[in-house]
Amino acid sequence: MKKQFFIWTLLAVLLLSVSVASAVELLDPRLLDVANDLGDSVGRYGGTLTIYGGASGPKTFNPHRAAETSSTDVLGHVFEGLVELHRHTGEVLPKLAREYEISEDGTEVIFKLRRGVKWHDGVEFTADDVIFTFDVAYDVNVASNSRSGLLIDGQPMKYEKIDKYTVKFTLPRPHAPVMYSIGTDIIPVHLLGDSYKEGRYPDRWGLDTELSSIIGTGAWKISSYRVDQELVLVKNDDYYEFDNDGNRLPYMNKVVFRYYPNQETATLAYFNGEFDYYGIPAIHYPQFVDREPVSRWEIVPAGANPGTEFIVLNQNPDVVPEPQLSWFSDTKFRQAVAHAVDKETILDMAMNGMGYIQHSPINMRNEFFLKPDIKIYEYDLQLAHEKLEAAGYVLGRDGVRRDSNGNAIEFELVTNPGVPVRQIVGELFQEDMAELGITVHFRTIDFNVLVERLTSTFEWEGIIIGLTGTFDPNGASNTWLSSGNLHMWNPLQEKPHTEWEAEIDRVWVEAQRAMVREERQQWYYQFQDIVAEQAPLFYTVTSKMNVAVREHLRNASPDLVGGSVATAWNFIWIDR
Amino acid sequence: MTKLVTEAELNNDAKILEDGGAIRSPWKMAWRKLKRHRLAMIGMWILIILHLFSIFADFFTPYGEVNTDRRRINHPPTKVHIVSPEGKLVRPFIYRYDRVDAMRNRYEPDKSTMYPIRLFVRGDKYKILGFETNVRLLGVDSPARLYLFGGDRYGRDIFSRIAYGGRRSLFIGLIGLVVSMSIGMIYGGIAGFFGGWIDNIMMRVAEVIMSIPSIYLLLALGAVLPASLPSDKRFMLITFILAFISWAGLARVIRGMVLSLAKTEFVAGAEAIGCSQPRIILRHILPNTLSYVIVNATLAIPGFILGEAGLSLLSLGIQHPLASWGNMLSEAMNLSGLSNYPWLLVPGFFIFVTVLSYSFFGDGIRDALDPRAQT
Repeated sequence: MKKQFFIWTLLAVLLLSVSVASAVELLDPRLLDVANDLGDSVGRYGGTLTIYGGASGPKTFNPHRAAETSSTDVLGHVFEGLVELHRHTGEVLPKLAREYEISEDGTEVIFKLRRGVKWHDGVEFTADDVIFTFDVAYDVNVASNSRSGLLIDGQPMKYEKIDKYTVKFTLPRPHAPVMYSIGTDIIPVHLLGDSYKEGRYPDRWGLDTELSSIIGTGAWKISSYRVDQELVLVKNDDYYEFDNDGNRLPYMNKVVFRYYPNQETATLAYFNGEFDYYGIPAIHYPQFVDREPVSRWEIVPAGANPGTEFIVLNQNPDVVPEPQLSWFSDTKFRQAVAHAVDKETILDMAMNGMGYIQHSPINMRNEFFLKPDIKIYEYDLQLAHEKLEAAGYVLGRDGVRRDSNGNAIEFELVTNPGVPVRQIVGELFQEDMAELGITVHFRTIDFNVLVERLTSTFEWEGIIIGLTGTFDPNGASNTWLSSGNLHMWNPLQEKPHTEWEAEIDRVWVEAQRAMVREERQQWYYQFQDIVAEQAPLFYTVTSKMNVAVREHLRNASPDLVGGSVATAWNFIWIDR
Repeated sequence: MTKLVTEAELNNDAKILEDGGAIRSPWKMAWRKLKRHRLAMIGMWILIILHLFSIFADFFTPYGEVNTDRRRINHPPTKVHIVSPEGKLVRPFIYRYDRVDAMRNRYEPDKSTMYPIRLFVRGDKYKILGFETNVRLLGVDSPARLYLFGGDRYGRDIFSRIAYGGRRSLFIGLIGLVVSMSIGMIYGGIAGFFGGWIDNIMMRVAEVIMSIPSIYLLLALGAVLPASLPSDKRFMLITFILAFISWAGLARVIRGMVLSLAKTEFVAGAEAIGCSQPRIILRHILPNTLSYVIVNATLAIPGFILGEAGLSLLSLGIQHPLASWGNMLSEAMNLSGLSNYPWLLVPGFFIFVTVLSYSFFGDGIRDALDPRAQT
């Protein structure tokens, strides 16, 4: 039965390739070392993967109009870029490009395209599509999500077609992170070129479009969509990737996204067997562990949550009054107070121990850039006390700590309601600071008010908040450059206010200029040392992520670089 | 049955009248009627006990309000045993609980040592009537910890915090009531007595105040009030503000009653003998509205208590680490917390009992004060 199916599939594939591809011949197939590279196995054809797509489905099918993950999670499989990131290490690998070459001085990148790659409608993919895509991506009127990542110091790159299969990019200066943005989704000029010229590009490929006319180069084609319920992708039989044994990928026939309004429902649906692959919400984790022995799935650890949660004290000289300003901008004060964050208990209370203690601003999944031997601030109230005394913040007989001018140390700390971990951080911190003779007025305020204070009025003393993590450290430019809008403790500076901020700025730009990964690593190590020394943020904890994988799925290891959903479907296969 | 009692009452009253003409005051008669209302009396006693428990929380509870234990998160209620492992009847004791499963916060009693519950032990310090002391009614020896109703996620004792939380949750109603009642009565009294354009203007103002959406007002206040304001003062302020916008409804009813009372003979009489207008309002008219006001009061207090619970749930009310029943309950807001640590709902039970007791008590008072129910 299986064998027969296999033969029929093979025949179908052959027939199709003969009938359509006679004109375009695939000269540069992409060979994936499925068996070794990812520790996975060569698969068998057939089957369907069903996954949880979140609370709602795509809002558009236009890749340069998509801004939310519900859309990009789907479109990322229909459209592809010149390069992609290795899903475990984050290295930049050629995708639609056969190879790329960076010039000595780091200002020129030449992409050789794969010859004979076809759009889903059979037309060949060429350098014209690449040029068109970057025209669109840089267009202010389109407002593509990729645009800001493709700008270097506010300037676009120059790009030109050398020949049908070669494109050259010229950078205003060396800028390594641009390689992470340059893999933006390539779109077909033969279908969208005219409407772009007429200025109608932003309206194309909305949800009302005939699904068969959404044409990409990816391994998957959109086949049906019931809004916010179910979306079906079918495989592209003409795809240009092959496994070790020369089998054309992908293995599976279909991928189905199912949408559930909330995580409670999704968890129950998973227990019901309604889908195969699921990022387990931390609060449901014990339920999954309890059921695992009798279930037909296994729990696979997926690393740390990429985000950070921290306490930050305001050092903005324009708005923070004295004496708070001199305490908060005193490095010794911050270093001492950093010892009063009881991370172990926070982990225990907020995550039942299912998480990691954080010391560095770098995404914990990106082990390459995460410095292992960074300076850490252990929870130690005695040490905090000694450091404060040494820095001139003396504990009086009445149990109140005062600075050298006799001001009692006292400040306000706010966070938004509804995030248990922040509440817990605040309450424990308040209690520990009281122990040190410092009064902290901790309370929660509405999230919008909090954001307004953080980003426009800047009137706050202490805040507990989190940032989402990007895989490449440079994604946090707006936090760490002193000119950044999320440089929370003193944002939008015209020139660095302190020496260490100037040093961070310098190291940060050096890291951008270093086109070699190992060199960048060294710069980011330096950056982490400065941050750890200066302690502008007191890091707390981040949760452990886990996925539940149905037992018949093979090669379904979680993706560390991407987001919530398993992305390497091209070589997932179904073992029944 | 009713008839028999009524007859007996009548006879009784008649006898007293014959005896010496001592006429019982309406208040005494109401009290007698109230005493016969069984549910009302039960409600009243429960309320008295709860209030005393809260006032003397320091003494009745084993731990102080913010006494945390970071190694005992979401501790289940400790079982109190009176039979020792050998099968003998002993004074109540407990076991120390150890956390056996950190991920699920599962605890098991360690049965090797018994920790008897001691009376009049030394615990957290507190002040009472100006004296500082640390004698508490109940306690166990460390390292065991007594969690009669279980513990919260900071390892604090819920039993203790219910007592301390009652200080805010129970008394906030009374304070709010006093404020809104006094404003409402005086305002309504003046408007009703003078009538005409004064009444017209005053009532329009009251309507404007009634139309202020309270939740938005509180949200705005929550953002504006300085954080350095201590949590309990902050809540006091919010209660006052709530009371200041809730008096308008009462003022309207009082004004209606006063309008009709102002035309009665005894008011005309008071005017005739030259009483001043404030005196007429305060001594002659407003007392006649008292029965309505008292009934209204007993029904309004649960409103304030529930209001506090709601506000604290939205984290606008009492803020951690201070306790109130509302903010204790907010920990039980998610499904997994609720199914794993059901004891977090205990404060909800206390709110429920209190509100019910006030309703029964209010019911009894209404029957007792209703003049038409007297015959």
